[in-house]
Amino acid sequence: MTESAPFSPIAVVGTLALLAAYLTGAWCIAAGIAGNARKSRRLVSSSVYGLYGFGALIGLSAALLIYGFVTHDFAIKYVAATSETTMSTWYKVTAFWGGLDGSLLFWVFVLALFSTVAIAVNHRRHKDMIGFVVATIMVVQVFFLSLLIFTKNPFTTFLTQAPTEGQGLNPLLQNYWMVIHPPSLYTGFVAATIPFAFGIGALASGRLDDMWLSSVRVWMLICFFFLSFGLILGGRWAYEELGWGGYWAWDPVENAGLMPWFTATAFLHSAIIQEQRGQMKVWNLVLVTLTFFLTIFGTFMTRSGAVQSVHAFGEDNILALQFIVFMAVILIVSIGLIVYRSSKLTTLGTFESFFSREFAFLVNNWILLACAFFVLFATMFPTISEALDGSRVSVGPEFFNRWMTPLGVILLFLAGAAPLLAWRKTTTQRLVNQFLFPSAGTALSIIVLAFAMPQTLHLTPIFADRLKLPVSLFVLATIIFVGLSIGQEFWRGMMVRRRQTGSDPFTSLLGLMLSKRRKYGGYIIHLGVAVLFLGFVGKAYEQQTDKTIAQPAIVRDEAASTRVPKQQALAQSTLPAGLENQSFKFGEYVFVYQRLIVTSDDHKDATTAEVGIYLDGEKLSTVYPAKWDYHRGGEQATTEVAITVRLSEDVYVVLTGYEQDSGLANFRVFINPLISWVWIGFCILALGVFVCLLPASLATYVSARPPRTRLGRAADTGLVMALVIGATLAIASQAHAAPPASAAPAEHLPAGGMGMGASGVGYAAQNRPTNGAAESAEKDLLCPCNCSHRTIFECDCGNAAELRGKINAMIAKLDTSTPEKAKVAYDSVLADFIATYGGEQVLANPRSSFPWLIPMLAAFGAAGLLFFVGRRWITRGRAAPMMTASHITSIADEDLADKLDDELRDTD
Amino acid sequence: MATGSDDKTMRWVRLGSLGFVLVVGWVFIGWQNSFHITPPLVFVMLGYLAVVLTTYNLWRTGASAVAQNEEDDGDASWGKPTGARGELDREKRTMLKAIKEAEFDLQMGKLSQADAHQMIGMYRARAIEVMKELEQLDLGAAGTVRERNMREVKARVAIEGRMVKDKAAPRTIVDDDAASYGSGAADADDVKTPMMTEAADDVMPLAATEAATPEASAIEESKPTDKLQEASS
Repeated sequence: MTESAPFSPIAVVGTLALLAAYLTGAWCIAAGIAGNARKSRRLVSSSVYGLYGFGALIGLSAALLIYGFVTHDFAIKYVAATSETTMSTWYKVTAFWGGLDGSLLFWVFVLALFSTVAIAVNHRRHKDMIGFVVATIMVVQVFFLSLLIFTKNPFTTFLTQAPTEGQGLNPLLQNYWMVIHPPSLYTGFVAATIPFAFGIGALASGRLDDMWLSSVRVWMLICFFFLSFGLILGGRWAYEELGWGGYWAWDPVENAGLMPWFTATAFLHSAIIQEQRGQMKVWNLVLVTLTFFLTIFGTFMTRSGAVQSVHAFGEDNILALQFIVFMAVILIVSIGLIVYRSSKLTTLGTFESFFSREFAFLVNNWILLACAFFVLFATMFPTISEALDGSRVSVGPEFFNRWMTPLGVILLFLAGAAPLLAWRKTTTQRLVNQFLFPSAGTALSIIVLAFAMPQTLHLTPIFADRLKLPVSLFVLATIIFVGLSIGQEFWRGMMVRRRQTGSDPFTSLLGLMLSKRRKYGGYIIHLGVAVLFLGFVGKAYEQQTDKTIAQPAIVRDEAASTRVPKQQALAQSTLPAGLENQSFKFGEYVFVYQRLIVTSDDHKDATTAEVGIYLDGEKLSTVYPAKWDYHRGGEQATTEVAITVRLSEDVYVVLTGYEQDSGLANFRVFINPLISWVWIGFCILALGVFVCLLPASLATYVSARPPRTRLGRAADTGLVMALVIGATLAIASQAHAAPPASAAPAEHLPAGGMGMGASGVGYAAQNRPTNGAAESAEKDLLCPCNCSHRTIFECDCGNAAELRGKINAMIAKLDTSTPEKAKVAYDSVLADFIATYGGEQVLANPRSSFPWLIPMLAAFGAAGLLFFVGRRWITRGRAAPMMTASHITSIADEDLADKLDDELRDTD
Repeated sequence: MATGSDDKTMRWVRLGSLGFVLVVGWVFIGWQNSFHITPPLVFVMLGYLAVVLTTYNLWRTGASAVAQNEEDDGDASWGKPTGARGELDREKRTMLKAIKEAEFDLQMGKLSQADAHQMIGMYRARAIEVMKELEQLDLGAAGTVRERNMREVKARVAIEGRMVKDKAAPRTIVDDDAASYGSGAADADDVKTPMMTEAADDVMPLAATEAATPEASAIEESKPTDKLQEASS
């Protein structure tokens, strides 16, 4: 009896919808280009409606796929691979983008939504180029659709018997942050397509005035916001879910989102120069193209296997080739159009002074571009090295940090300094007047920090091993400088506004922000970035320890089937005495292992440790680090960390291993100073973006209201500010890690434990380094198990434990009494591993000078070029015949001057 | 106008029909499921919405492609060409913003009085040039010389009116008002006053002959100049 192929009407209709969308997209490309080229209104209209129809068809496909998830249509392979019946509805919906095929469809869906809005808003304003814009968007859509239809169709069904149950979503993705992280990041990626399309439309149509710039600036701001949001959410997910105590590891997939963030930020600044001075037209077009290109490149990286990452979807050579061809087409067409229109784009670059806002923006742009290219180089270096000599050299966080830290500090400084500079030039006297307060405050804070917090004087290598500076002190000082500078801008602006309007300070501040939304919204964003850096600084002072406790305070008595509490006082708020064997001290905290709780449900088996944290004898919190073993989630259990959040530092507890019978538990504890400020910094950044995006109509409405009493105006102001800040904090207060299941009696107790060695001690705690040389060596060697690309020091698997033991044994045989001898011992360990594993791929950071040399050369070269170009432009600017204030030559000019004054009065 | 309102009516008819079909479909789907809201039902309804929108937009795609345009598809009817006028408008707005920015920077202490005066003066001069060019574009080349003279006359009449008022009540001095940056005007007023009255008288008849032929206008336009020369000699 032959089995019939499973039939899924959803799959059939879904595939047909994709095919129809493909044909519609092709029509839109043809009609759009022909319509604008031949100035045919009906063809352009047809292409616009075709774009809307395309969006509706993709919406239909998305709805059908999600319907398949919620109705458990396991005849569809994608549904069976990423879903199961016991999953909650939310995770079934998010499974849509959980796999490669669905993520591509999700990309097309989000771009369809965005492009519908963008075209609907702009098609009347840009009739002469909207056809080209539609065609460009549709080319991108058709490319992704061709991937879907011909190679990665999410509606593919099983050829034979369909399974009755799905495999379920990767347990690591079953987390609140993973529900919102991919959509936000994809939204950021997709939003970069709109400015690119308008740029191409402007080039193709030859309409290169600034109209296209004002249309795309908002979309680039949206792109910037969602990229920021996506990156922060990804960091938050990594922090809560992966259990390694950090939030950013310079993973290739993380870098894929960061690179377009740099170029989008650069564009937002250089667009201001084009609006103010009419310069940098080619530069802006290049940035728009580069941002879009990097989003496609990032998508290529994560889906082609070009880089290794825990986030990557895997290796696919056919997909890689398709992406490479598409990226080549993007570059050829974009560069070709820019060259073709170069005569309309060239402007004489002139600046009048190095101490001008224009020059500060130019430096800012170059550094952002340097950051983007450095991250690109470092991310692709393992692939490049493998292509060159067959060995895949790893590039770890240390390599990135040595370059990105100083570049970041320079950018941060510019974030504070540029607002203090005037357009065109700032005289020496004005320079002193503007910089005095922030500089004095910074100098004072350096002195206070150096004395009050000597740990900030710790030297950290930057750029190269030999160049060591007190980086933490510099960063903190720069943060304070930015804060004082922005504060001064707000204060002085508020006072000016107050003099102009006679309002109270609150109303003046609100009026200032509403009338100059872009400027002051930008200042708030700068402040948010400074607060982010405050969170970054804390990373340098994180502490980590591994402890094993043989038995909890409360032990389960199997014979009696009841719990026999060893100590009665565990519920009280002060640290009970006599618990030395069940507790350990780390930092200022005492951790008391209270009990081990085992639970089970349809999805998973959970083993949870209850740990009390005490500070100065008082109970700070009770936390529940856990291991969850999903029934259908693969072999590896997930780590559920427990975090006690404080503004000064987080206490981060991980259950790395346990023994259920005895109750033995192995803990890894991190103390992460200042990490909460990373999340707070983003919230401030989001507030700044909201202010920038406030519509002009709102500003007009608020300012046009009839005059009221001062109290009334202040109340209005306070209400508006409360609404805006409240909305921002609402984002900040969203979810935290899910609370653990209540300690119900276990339905079953799986035998054995998890993460335990033969000695009964958890792997993570086994063979910890005994001296500095061993610790350095373990931190510079990657664990060969390839789990999360961690170092031997960090990894908590059995391989890592064994290798730590080997390293300890090697170091023990050598003399490490002096720093020089310790260095020799360290080098010999590394050499042994390189010989054992056949190359430098086992190293966490490259040792050869080649990868270090290239960024060095590029940085010095770029700095030299920047100085040379800047000097040339300034020389040209000073030599150019100055536009003088010509005397009014006729009486009629006075009439025009009066009209000008009237228009100035209406301009805010 | 009638065509415009017809288009609007048709647009509302289409949207109304769309809404009606949507609501009827949703009610039917809900009724089939006893109005029990479940995730599958929600996505069926969203799918139905997508189907309706697809049908509508694909029909509009085809209809637009084969539509007969009532208007000429040439340049004149093709959207709203910006061209030189658009560029000048933008430049004027840029100058206005630059002036406000410079004034704000002055008050914020980033610019000295001298620097601000110089920058604002430059921007104002350029803005006035741009406004002149905009006026020329609006009027076209034919009326340029004639209309320029008309403006000149109007401005002189206005100034003369102000001067009469000033004689009766002296004008207060404006300190940091932006108009003070156009300081050249005061000198021009003083020099040209004696001639202005005569010129105004001479040009008045010109105003009465506005409907004259271009040739007559050209002859008339030369008259004020001649009168000025007579007055100066």
